[in-house]
Amino acid sequence: MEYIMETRNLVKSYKNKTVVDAVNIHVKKGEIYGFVGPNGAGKSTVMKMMLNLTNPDSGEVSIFGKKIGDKSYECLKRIGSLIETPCFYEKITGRQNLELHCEYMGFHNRERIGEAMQLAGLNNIDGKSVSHYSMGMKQRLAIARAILTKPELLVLDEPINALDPEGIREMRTLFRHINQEYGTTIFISSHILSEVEQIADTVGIIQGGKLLKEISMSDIRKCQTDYIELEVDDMERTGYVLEQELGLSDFKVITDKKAEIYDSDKSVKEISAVLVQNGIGLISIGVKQNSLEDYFFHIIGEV
Amino acid sequence: MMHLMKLELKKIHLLQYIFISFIAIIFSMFFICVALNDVSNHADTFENTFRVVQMIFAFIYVIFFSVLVSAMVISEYNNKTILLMFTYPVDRKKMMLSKLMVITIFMAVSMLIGYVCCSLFIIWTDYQFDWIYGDFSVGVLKNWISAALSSIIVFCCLGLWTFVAGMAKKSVAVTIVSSIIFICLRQIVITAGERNQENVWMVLGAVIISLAALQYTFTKKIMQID
Repeated sequence: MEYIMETRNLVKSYKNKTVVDAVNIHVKKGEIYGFVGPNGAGKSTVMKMMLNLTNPDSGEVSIFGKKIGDKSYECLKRIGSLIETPCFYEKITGRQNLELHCEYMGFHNRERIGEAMQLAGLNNIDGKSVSHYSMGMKQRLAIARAILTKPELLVLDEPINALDPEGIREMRTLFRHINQEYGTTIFISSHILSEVEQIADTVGIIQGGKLLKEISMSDIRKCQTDYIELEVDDMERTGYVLEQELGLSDFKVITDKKAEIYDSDKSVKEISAVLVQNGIGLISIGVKQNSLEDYFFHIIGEV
Repeated sequence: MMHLMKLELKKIHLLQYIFISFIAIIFSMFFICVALNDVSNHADTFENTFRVVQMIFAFIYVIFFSVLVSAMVISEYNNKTILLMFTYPVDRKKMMLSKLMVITIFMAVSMLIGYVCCSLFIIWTDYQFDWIYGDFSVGVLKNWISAALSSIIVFCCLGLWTFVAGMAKKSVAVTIVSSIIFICLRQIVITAGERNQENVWMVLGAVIISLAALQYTFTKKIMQID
């Protein structure tokens, strides 16, 4: 399998503390790779090493089939990125920042600046210096800058931070659009698992500097089991009824009103009928599916 | 390199620094005027008056140099824009060199204009009020030109030292404070000599130290962004 980006046994330590430990990441061309992990897991450090911003203690990064070294600048022309917080030259306008970006990237299609700003949802901001932008606007401008040159690879570190729900949805649509329209490979880190779940083709889970799992979303979905979630007014009696009347043993009481039934023998219809017959107030009942969040905590919990 | 330097100029409000440079020249002239007009002082020579200008320039321009280093280099690290800069397909040492070239050229030109303005001012005040002992001659002008050029080189070197000091800790405070220390160091070194100004060896020494320190910083410190 040929990968557009690959890391081999990447190790990085700061002050004798290993923050990235033998990380092997494989990003296929044209996919959206979701890189998830708790704060301080080492996501940003891995991404900095990918972009040659930090040298690894050992291991290597290959991008576009070439090993990244001290002098690997040329490949950066084909990469758009957003690392950590969005940074700009605050005294100049957003457009001037993007013009500067084009100059450094050697990209001469200035009409694309307007397009990128529009795609990122930045309208009517001409003449305003970046210092007057809200955090959400800066985030949008950073995304506009990252996609401006139509890069082959986008490396985005927490790109939806500081965005409102509408902004998050817009960015999700945008990432899908540039992935499908331009074939851009996207490597995206986020702690908002529900968002990653919606756009990623492959997910890498990192914790304590170690890559715990690298798995495609389709494989995760295969592992995801359906279960019945019910909300009742009397959990004590419900537990008794589920065990004695329905003969269920594989269920979990979540709170004093909520339970999850993993036994697939009984249908929602049967369970609700028995509960009602026994005088239990049924507030809600329905079939649910494990999310990426459940999978994430399952993987993390295994360690 | 020229292209990178032009891009550096786009990031800063150059006009604001030109204005500061203009104010510095006015301040220097004012200081010279006050010093020459001091009735408690005996009439001074052209050579001594020029040394006063050099001393004022040492304080103004080396500190000004460190301010520019802080604004154009150190702040890139503090504001994390250096992370962005280093994602560009440009040699990072060239990128840093372009910044230093912009600062050094700007400062050298500012000092040159400053020296021309202050020299003309000294000549004019002497012509008007006869405050200076002796007559102005071509010999005096020659001495002034060589002293001005040596001091411009030394002040730029001291400015570059502030870059080296600032990059060690990526700190604006260290950059500015180091400029004051280097000015004091310069004063101590030149007062140890007979002429109270830089000689060829001092200029050469400052250049060699600067090159060595820059080499170290470029190799060890530029890529330290964590």
